[in-house]
Amino acid sequence: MKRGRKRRNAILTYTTLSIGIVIVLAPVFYMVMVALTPHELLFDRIIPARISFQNLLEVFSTDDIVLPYRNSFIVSSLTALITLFFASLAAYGFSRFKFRLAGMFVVMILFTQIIPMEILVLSYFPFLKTAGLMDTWAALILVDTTLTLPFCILILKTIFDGIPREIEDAAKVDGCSSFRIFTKITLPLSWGGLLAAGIFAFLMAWQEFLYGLTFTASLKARPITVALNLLIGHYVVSWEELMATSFFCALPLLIVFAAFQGVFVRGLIAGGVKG
Amino acid sequence: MPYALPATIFLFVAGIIPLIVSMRMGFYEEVRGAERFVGVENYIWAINQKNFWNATGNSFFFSGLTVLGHLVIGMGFALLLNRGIKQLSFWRGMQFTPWLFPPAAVSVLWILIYQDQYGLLNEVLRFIGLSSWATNWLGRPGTALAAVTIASIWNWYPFLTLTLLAGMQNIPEELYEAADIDGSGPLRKFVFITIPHLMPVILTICLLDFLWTFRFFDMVWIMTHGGPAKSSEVLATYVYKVAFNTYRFDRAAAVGGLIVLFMGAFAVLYLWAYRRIEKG
Repeated sequence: MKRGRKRRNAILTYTTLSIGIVIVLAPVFYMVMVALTPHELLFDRIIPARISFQNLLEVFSTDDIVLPYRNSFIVSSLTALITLFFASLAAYGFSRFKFRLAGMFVVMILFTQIIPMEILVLSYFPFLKTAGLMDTWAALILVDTTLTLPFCILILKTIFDGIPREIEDAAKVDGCSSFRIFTKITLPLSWGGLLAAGIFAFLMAWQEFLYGLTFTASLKARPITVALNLLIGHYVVSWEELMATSFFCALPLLIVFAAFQGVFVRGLIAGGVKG
Repeated sequence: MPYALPATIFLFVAGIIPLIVSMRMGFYEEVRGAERFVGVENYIWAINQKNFWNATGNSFFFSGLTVLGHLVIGMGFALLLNRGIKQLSFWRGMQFTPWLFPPAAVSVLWILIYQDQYGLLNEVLRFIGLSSWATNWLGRPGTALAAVTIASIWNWYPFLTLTLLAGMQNIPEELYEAADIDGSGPLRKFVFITIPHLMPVILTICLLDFLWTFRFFDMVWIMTHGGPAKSSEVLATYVYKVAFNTYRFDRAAAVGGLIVLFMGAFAVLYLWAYRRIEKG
């Protein structure tokens, strides 16, 4: 009797969950289907009679897409690396040393997370213009790092807090400097957190749109998100090409997530819940 | 201390100082390269704009409904995922997918879904016999903002799922076992155990989510550009237009100052309510 109910409950859970997932993934499925439809069959039906990779190849052979894709890769990777450097040092400081003003620093870091970007743009714009940094990777890396840094510090602080102090104390007795302890013990022990923070920073920078829109003017530095926006309403670009580009725009993030889901989700929770 | 310094200085120089500089712009006027203090002139200009109040209303609508949508869907998935299912990481990963899509890609996808003649939504409506409902969702003042709101709910609910799920996993199992012995049903357990224990997490994440959405620019910009007839203009797109269509950074900064004021007032009211609830 009791077991029967349990079984029924389990079936109900999996069924509801599956239905929910089918509904939320339907738009993604639709996107992929349209992207794979040959032009002459477009919108005949949702699952096309014939699938073609022509659209994907076509989209990926134009400079308008390939160069922004390259820009996004360079900007996002470098943003992630720079963020990791600053964030791991800061998180270590906040986690290990209690000092005056520490509380204030943490509040300030949290605060920078909610400053509206469109307000910052007003002072970034004249600054970047004067500095001659318009339409460069450097400008995007600079502004993207301010977006990624706060949350990554929170992720890493939680991870560092979780490392038993005894391990580091033992090294301290052996005469290791705190910097040596940091690089030789703390960092290697928290590779999962570093990976999560790095992925998060890459993701944020890759998804960024407003700064890219404002601070780039050509294929020299334009990120893929902005390039995608420029295709809308363009008379030679058709829906299947737009969907193919959108899919490409999300693809690296899907791959990274599929590869590192566990580590990434744990890191995200560390930063989100505890922070 | 020296460890925390580089990041703190970086955020101060690239985050706090630009904010102050932007705020200062709102009180000055630039005439032939020279600055002139004008007090609250730009602020008075802003509050006399019909478009400003229109955008304010839309921003509260957009953010409020987005957060509500995130909470409902996120809670639904979190409850399902918390039922001791097998292959948790598979299911969790599947429901997480929308979050990975850049807002730009999401916008383009939903533009097609809402498209008048062959968009998915209208196709589905026609299929189930509601062809009279089919319409140009993004092209009509009555539906444009709601349509963008749905897309933004779809994009970000997964973050709420993760946060709520983590919160649920911290609730002691014994509480549920005790409730089982008392013969409490699932609804009672949800209302009297899950919700109260989750309340701090819910309140914190909803506040953050609201503030993030309030400043959100990408989707409205790409999907509707604030139109048609300003019906989906939010404060984020309004500031941007004031700044870059008319090149009046001083006026834009004043609007920005008002946005900060709204966000601050909302946060203060919210935290005040939170304290009251906490005290009971």
